Amino acid sequence: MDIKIKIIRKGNTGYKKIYLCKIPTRKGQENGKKEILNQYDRR
Amino acid sequence: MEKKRFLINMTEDEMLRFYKNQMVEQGILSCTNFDTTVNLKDFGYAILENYKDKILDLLYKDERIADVTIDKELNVDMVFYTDYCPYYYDVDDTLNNSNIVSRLAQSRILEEFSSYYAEKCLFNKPYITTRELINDFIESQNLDIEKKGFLSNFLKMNIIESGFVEKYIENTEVYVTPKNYKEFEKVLLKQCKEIENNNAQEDEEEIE
Repeated sequence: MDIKIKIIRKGNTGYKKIYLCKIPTRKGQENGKKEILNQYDRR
Repeated sequence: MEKKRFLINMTEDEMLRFYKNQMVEQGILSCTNFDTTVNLKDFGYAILENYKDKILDLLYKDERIADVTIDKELNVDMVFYTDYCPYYYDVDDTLNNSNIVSRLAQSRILEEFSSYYAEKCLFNKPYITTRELINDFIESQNLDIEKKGFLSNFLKMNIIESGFVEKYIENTEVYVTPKNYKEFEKVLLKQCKEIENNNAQEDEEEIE
């Protein structure tokens, strides 16, 4: 499955990842509707 | 007390599957959301470095993985299907779409769900994960896809918020069994009561 993400680099502290589609609950449920579901900082 | 340790001989396939499962399970447990990153260096790096492509292939095939990449630094970035993330539910969905199913119906459905195990599974499928239980219950309801999606998330949210997941999680799964189903019923009915109280409070505020 191709989950589209947008990554914004944030210097040395890690990066922010923004999902552009809804993450499906299980295989075969890939009809995402939401545009942005989640964003978080990874360090 | 130190745990007893074992040395096991494995074939290449067995070893790769073993490490793949470790990565997925550790990944699922370490995230409160639906994604995480682990590094191959933490999993027998010297061996796995040479098997990067095979590991990636195995990860792609795993039913719990929605998407995965391995970068040059050997970071394994995994996105899991949300059904397999024991601590995750979609907060936005519960807040923004709560009008899809009326508040009264939400509480009624949660009450019905609390006794579903005793009625349908206790003798036929006594050891069942909360994931399967939700899916079986939702499938048994005569509802459209949108309502099913909302209720599935709503039931998961209530199981998590009741504390049942935290208490009964085994590895990455939470089971309802003949030993704990009465507690399952009890905590969900408590959640139900809270929803009803909130509804009553909101109704009172609306009247005022």
